[in-house]
Amino acid sequence: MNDYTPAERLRIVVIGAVVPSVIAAVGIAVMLSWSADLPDPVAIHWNGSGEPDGFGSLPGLALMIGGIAAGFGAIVTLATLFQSAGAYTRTVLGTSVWLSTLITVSVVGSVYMQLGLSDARDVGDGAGIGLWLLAGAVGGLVLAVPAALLAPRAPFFAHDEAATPALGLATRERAIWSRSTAPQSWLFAALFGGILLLLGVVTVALAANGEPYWSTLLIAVLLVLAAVGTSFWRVRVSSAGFTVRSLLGLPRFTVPIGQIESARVTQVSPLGDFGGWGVRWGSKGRIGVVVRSGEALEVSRTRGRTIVVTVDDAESAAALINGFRERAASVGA
Amino acid sequence: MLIRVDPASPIPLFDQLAASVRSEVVRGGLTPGERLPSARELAGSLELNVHTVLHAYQVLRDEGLIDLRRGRGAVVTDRAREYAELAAMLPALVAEAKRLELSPAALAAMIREAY
Repeated sequence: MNDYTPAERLRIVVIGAVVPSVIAAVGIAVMLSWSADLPDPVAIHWNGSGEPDGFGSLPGLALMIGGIAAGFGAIVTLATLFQSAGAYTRTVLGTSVWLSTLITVSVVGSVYMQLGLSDARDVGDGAGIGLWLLAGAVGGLVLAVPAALLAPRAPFFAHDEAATPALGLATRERAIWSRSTAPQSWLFAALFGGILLLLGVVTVALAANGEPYWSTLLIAVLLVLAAVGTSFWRVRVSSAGFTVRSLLGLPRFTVPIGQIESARVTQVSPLGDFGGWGVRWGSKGRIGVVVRSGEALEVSRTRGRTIVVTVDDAESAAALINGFRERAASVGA
Repeated sequence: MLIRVDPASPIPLFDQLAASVRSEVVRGGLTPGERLPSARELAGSLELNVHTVLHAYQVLRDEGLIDLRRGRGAVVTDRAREYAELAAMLPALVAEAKRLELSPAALAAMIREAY
């Protein structure tokens, strides 16, 4: 938990969950009020050139809008309240408002285009749906930016700014530090399993309808590679410098010892400090390799951006880096 | 895992390496199931001969602290937990030795005698 006041908590709940749900509810009410003048089924999916290619029921569409807006809002709000948040709180809460507006405006707009039709297939060709999407995206920004600005600024962790004390190394002593880092397994399994299950259902459905399903298979393979490549890492410190390397070999980050300014232990809140997990662009211009919350090694460079890696025993790693730096400095002096 | 060896020390390098792994196990820097770097990799980063690292790994394997398997490398065994329990008894022993102003070598000799 973090240090929000009750008033700030209320603002987070209102902006993250209540406002997006109200936007969706208004859209749903408007849409349902038209039901007498709408074809049944209505067009619910559109191809790239703006023609309808999927049809379904109006209540189903209403459920989708409500589900996305309320679901995303709830996740974002809970994550903000329970994570010790940082720079990304406002962005994340604003995104909830934006997403809800985008979905509501574009879906309600697409239904509006079908008013008075007896068959949804007769709905116009061309730009109509694209314009509603654009209207949703822009309208979403108009609402989301003020909403984000009204959201409370999150308290930063009280970062211990001091560099970790250097490990005392003898003149000729050699040392290395190495550790693997991975997400909490249940979280990774849950997220990843959910996505794969969804893709599996879509693939089976496509195959059953005799439609090509290789694209979802391809997406599944790419997702597996991306998830493994950004979730499992090995962190190394040697006299040559500091390396973080993905289990797949790439991506990797290397900082030669001569370019390291200092190292220290820090605490990371993935959502708060980096807006999520994986390889991240974070607050204060830092690059993050973030696979879990908590203890992390922060390496600042003489040139380029500071790198933060969530890893256990970061204390030893930081002490060794600083030990190498100190010894090099005393030898050079 | 933090591994340190000092070529300036009179203790043989393989012995230092094995001791370093042992103390990491005790400290919790290495846990059962964790894999040590390959002998070649460790030798490379510590500027040691591969045979020195293999010698240390063999000592640790004979002790039962690691498993050496072809293709899997060196893996820390469940014995690591018991080492932590043994290590928890040491501070009292050392404190008593210090009170009596015994050198570490003298304490080590007494332990050897007791075996």
